Amino acid sequence: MRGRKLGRNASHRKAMFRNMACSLICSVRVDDEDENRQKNPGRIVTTLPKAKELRPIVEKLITLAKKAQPHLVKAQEFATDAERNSSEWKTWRESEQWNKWNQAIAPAVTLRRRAFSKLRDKKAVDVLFDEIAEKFEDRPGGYTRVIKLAEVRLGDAGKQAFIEFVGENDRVKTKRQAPVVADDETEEEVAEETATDSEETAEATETESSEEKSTEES
Amino acid sequence: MAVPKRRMSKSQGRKRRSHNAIKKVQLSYCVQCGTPAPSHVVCPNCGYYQGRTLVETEE
Ligand SMILES: [Zn+2]
Repeated sequence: MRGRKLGRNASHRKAMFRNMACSLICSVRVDDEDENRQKNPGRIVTTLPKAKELRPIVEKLITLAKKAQPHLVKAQEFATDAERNSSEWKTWRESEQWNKWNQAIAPAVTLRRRAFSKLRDKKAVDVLFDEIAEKFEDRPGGYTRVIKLAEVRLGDAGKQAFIEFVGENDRVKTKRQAPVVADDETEEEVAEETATDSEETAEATETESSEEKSTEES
Repeated sequence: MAVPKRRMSKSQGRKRRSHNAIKKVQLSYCVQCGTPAPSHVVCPNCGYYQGRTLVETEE
C-alpha cells in the first residue's frame, strides 16, 4: 500500500484519519465560552508520522471544498432571503427561479456530500465549506504545515509534531540587503553621500539612545 | 542445518561491534533564548521557531 501503515489495519487507519481530519477542521471554529478551548485554533498535536500522513488527506478535502465555491456564488443569483415555508418562500419555490437555483447549486451539494462521506461529521463539513474554503480561495495548494516539537511523548518517547492551517503564524521573510557597490562616482557625489550618511548615523544613534532610556525607565 | 564450527571469541565479537556505537544527538541553540534542542524543532523553552513564536509559553 501507499504510505505508512502506522501499526493499524485498513479500517482502523481510515477511522483514525477521519477522526483526525474532523478534529483539525473543527479546531478552526473556537467556542469562546468553552473553558477547555484550545489556545491555538486550527492546530492539532500528534506524532510526526501521523501528522505527515494526515496532510494530504486534509488538503484534498480543502481542494474539494474550494471547487464548490463558484457554484455557490452562481446559485446566490437565484436564491431567496425569505424564510423557509413563508408565503414569499413558497412562491419562490414554485417559480422558475427555484429551478435555476437548484440547477446551479447541485454541483456544490454533490461536493458537500462527497466531503461528508469522507468525514461523516456535519460540523466539520460546515466549517470546511464555509470557513476554510473561503480562507484558501486564492492559494494553489499547501494549506497546512507540519512542525516538529522538541518534547517526546511521555511513555513511548513518540516524536511529537503539530499540524496547522497556514495563514496564521506565517514565516516573515527577511530580505537580505544587496551589497552597496560604490564606484564610478564623482567626488562631489561621494562628498554629498558621506554628509547625508553622517546625518543618518547621528539620527540612528539618537533613536537608539532614546530607546535605551525608555527601556531603563520601564 | 548449517551450524557455526567454532565459538566466536570475545575479541571477534567486540571487534564486530566496534562500529555499532550510537552518536550523540547534535544540539543547536535557540536564537532567541539559547536553550539547546535538536535542530528543526520548536524551542522547548520559549516556543520560537524560524522567526516567530509558535507555542505560547505560560510565564
Ligand atoms: Zn528559545
